[in-house]
Amino acid sequence: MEIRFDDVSKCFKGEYALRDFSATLGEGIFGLLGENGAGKTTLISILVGILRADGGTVRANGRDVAAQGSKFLSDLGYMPQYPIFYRDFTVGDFLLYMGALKNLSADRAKSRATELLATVNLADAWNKKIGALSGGMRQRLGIAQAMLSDPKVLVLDEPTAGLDPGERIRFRNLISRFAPGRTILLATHIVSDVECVATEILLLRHGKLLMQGSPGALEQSIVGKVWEATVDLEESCQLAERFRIGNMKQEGSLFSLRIVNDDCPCEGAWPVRPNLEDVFLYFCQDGDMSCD
Amino acid sequence: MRVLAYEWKKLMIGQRGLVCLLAALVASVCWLAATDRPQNVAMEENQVDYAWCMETLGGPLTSQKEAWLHERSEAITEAKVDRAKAQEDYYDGLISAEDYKGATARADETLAHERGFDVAYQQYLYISENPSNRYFLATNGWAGLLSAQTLDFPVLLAILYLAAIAFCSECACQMDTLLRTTPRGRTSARSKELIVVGSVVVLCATLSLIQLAFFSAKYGLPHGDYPLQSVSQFGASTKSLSLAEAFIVAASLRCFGAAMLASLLLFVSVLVKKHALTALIGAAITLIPLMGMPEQFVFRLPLPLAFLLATGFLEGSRFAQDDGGQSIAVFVEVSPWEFAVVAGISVAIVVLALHGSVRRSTNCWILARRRRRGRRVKSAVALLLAVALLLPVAGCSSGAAEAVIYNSDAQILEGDGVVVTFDEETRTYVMERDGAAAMDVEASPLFGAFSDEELVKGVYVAGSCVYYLTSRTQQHVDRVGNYNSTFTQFSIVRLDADTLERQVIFEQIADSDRSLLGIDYTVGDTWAFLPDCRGFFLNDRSIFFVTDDEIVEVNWVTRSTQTLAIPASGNIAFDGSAIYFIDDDSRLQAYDTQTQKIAPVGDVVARSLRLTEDGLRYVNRLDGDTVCIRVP
Amino acid sequence: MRLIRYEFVKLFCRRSVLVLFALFSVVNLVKIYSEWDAYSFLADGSGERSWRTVHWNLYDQYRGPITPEKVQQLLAMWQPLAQATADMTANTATDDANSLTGNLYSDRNLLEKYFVDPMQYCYEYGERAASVAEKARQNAEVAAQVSALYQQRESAAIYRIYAGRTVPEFAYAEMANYYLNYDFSLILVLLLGLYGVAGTFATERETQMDRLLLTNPNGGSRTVLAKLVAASGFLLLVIVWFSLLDLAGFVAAFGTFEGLGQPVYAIPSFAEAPVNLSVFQFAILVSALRSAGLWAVGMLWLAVSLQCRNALVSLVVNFALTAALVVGGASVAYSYLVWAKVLDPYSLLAVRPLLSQTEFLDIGGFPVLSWQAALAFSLVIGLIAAAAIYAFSPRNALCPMRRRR
Repeated sequence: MEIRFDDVSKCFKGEYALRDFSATLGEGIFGLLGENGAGKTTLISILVGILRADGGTVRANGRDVAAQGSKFLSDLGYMPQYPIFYRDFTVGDFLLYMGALKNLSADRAKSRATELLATVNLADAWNKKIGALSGGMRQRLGIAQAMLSDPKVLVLDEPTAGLDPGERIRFRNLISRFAPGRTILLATHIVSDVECVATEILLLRHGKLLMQGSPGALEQSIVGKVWEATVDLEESCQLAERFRIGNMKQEGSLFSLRIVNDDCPCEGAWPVRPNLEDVFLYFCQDGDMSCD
Repeated sequence: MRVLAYEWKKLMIGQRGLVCLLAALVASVCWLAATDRPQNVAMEENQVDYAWCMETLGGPLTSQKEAWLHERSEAITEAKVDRAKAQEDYYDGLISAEDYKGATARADETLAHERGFDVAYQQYLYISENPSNRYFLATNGWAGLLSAQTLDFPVLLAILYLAAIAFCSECACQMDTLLRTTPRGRTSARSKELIVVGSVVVLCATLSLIQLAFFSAKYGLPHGDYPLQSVSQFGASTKSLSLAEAFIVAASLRCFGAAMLASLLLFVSVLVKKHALTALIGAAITLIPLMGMPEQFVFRLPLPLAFLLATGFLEGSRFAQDDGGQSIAVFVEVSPWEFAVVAGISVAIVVLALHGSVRRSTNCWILARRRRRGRRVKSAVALLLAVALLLPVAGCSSGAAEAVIYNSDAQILEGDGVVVTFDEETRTYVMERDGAAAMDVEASPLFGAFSDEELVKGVYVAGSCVYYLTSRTQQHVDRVGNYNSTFTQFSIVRLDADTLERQVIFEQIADSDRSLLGIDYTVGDTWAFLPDCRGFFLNDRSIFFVTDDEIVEVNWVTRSTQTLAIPASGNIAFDGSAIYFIDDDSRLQAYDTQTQKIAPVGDVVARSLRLTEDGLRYVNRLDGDTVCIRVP
Repeated sequence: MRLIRYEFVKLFCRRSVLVLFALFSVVNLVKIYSEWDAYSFLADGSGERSWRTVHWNLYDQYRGPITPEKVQQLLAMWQPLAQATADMTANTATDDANSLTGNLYSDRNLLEKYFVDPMQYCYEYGERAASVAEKARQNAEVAAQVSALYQQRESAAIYRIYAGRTVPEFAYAEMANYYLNYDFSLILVLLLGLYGVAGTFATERETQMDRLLLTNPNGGSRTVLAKLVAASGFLLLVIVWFSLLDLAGFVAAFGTFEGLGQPVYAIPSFAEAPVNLSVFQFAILVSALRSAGLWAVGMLWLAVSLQCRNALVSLVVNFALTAALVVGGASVAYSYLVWAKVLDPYSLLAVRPLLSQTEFLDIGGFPVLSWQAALAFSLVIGLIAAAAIYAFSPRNALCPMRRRR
């Protein structure tokens, strides 16, 4: 399914959370990157219909979503940020309940829930109370409920927040498994999550779309602007005050710095191959914190 | 349907809504069972005699019935006179025993249902004011069922709880956003509304049915087709409703009130998203008008409170006298068109509130198609809510088992080393003890100092304890400036004559015109005998109040009252275990307070009696009115 | 101190609390104005012949010390009117040029309600109080004869209260009367207090802040203590604010301060007031007693909140508890059962039943005025509840009790 945003805007108390946002999402995984307050959750809330846009249109397969109403919602799976769900419900009951809300027949909901629980490694949790699940299990339950109706559009808001590395990897793999034939919008500020799985990245800043492209293309756009240098403590502090530092690592009495800057930041610095974090840093951050 | 089932499970099981509903139901029923008293005690106590009268009188007042009442009334008066005359003649030796028996038998036949007839006659006086819509029937059941105009607090709490959790609990676990993104999120919201509104309606309806069953079992609910005005509280009402219809209307209005409050709170909850704030707003929109507004305004505003109280819509105007004797309307009847306006606006509020809550829980993409239609709904509801919120403001142990000597008409009562004398001049009871100065039994210097409405109405002495009954009328200020509300409180104080220690052992408000924090309530006529009380005595089980024509026994523990079949027009004597009196045949009788049985004392026929230390002194009618003594 | 400040901010500086505070204040003022408008006879406009204008014109002549001249002057005006209107044959015209308000009956009513009856009450009060004092003295003597020590002490206490009581001055007492009998704001105070305080612990539990707090050095018992102090401060603020608002509202609605300096027993419904204070001082005492009552109830609310997992359950349970206290307190408000009154903190909140009657409680053979006993008892209840909250609140397992320094 193709999702197209045309000049979508949203204002809160006179300030734009989203301004003239236009983008087209085809099939694949779309990483929505941006610092806190960039407008990611606002964009997602508009797409899933929790917030009403002040201007612009959202189209699904060329048709205005506003005109489709609940038909669009049937094709939508959504996983909110930090899901808590109903602590007193069992996992099975919860999925059956969500199935009812998604217009699935009882049998279909049950078979689909069993299938999905197996996929997300929660096959044994059918009778467990949600209140007894760990954070990672709850996130996996979240994606299971989002996938229940086999949606064509899957929207995941910060799905890996608070997960340990193992859970995050497992979660990323899950998303990749669900990706074929779907449009998946994945909002996060954990760059490594999208770097591995996203087919395209949308970079948001102050409610505006800065860039859209594949991770490789974005990285390519800042080739020659990422440097590494090995300096002593005093110089590392000076550099941190003047430039955006992507990484700082102590090696004996010296410090190895990864610096994002248009020009060579200091003598002895050498250009390196950019990654997505550098892209994020280059476009989204005004500067780094000073060295303490 | 499945969504509804899940929502029901969430609310009723997960959030313990069912427990809350059942708790409210149980608490309300227990309160009703514990506090219900018959509105007309005499009707209840003389049920059989009254029922006999109703066989003739039941239904509308007709000229035949009126004639029967007058005939019967005259016959009773005559029978009393005849009986007294026959008695006098017999004991004076003017007529034979047979003639006397025949005369008394005839008189007794007429007097057989006298007490029930008295109740019916009082009812006749009420009915005769407007015979077209006031019928004869046993009213206690209907009066109890229809007259209760107090807010049911357990029900209010249940509504607050259910309405607050329905949407707020979704917000608390952040499921509200997820629900809105599902195709049937709207159904989920509607289900919640249906469950909450439905369950509070069911709660109110069940309570009404339980009340119906309760009053039907306790007093009976005869002749539901008779006009509402047959119950005196609705006497001035101009509504053409039967009693059964009135019950259905009142029950329906209460259900609607509960539904209205629940709907408003559901809407408030989706706006504020906080349990506690929602519940507080619910409490405020109910309690502030209840306590801060004159009653007649309450029923003219589209507030849930008016419907929850309900019966005010059926009542007629009530008037009270002001200081200058002018009639002031305390409550003006709600006219049909006023009711229609209030009900219409209320229904609109309910619809808007329910619509608003669903709307606030609906996905924007679904709403977008209808945006133009309902843009102003939100502001209209907000405005109505604001109006609904602001309008209301514009507006020795108690036992005395030892031997005592008590005579109800005695001016002097004696105990162990204590004598209490009634001073005719000052109208006070003075206590004298061995070796001490005389003093008033109610020695408080404040008693009667600033009010003429504080009196000692009777004294009883047992051992060294003096018991006295005080009556105190006070203005009861609950609403600012509303000084019409007064209450008369009767208290029995035990005074230990040796130590002068005082202790209140019984207290009761007799008036029905009293309010509690602005909530008017009635105490019925259970205690209406207290103002007529001219003496009392007591034992370890009961207090016996002597009025002009009856003795009422009040149980210490249960406080239940029972009128004893003892004529109290003459002197009543009490020796600590038995009550001595002269019955209608001039026979000396004793009522055993333990077995509650009456037995003649020997074969004594007496004119008057007095209990003394030596025994019972009486004027013997069989012996030329000589004074005799009999040791009981 | 900082902890207390933050806890106070959490309790009070919530938008909902502030909005309710403002809304309830407006509701209270509107209610006070509606009382004046509905019940005062002086709320009849400011026309030349309105009661209001006539009253204040006459008032200037009679205010101040009650002298025989003033009494004579007043009677000279009232008696002919009373005689003329007694048989209801006086001129009923409403534009009678010989009358003050346009109608003779109206003149008589005005004089009776605002001058004759109140002045007579003030004039006779001293005599009545003297007879109370004398009778108390006699009672004390009688009690001494039979060695009834308590009765002797009680009579002596009554003597001390009533001996020398007089109302030497006449003043406009209507406003003071209405003000002292006003208790609608109590409902607002209870609702606001309930909302502000009832969820204190339950909310922390809902947001799982209780766990976080426990892991901090100042998180356990110190935070609990701070919460107790902050809640007390909040309740105090609510009471003080509404007390001030009541007074300001009545002064503004009636447009006068007159009567605030009169002894409180100059108001007939407080003839038996156990305190010899002016109306204004009495209002301050009432406010202080209410604060203590609300504080005690507030501590009970907090104790319930500590046991509840959910803020709504806490609110509903506390609401039921408050309703029980209110119904219980109100039903014994005018009873002789002084113990029942004293044991219910609501009596201290409503306060009028305690301060309009001279009642004593026998505590260890000493007569204690009911309001003093109620105050002491409420403070004890509050302290026990606070101590229980402090003792039973969750603590970090590593430091179960605060280290003593």
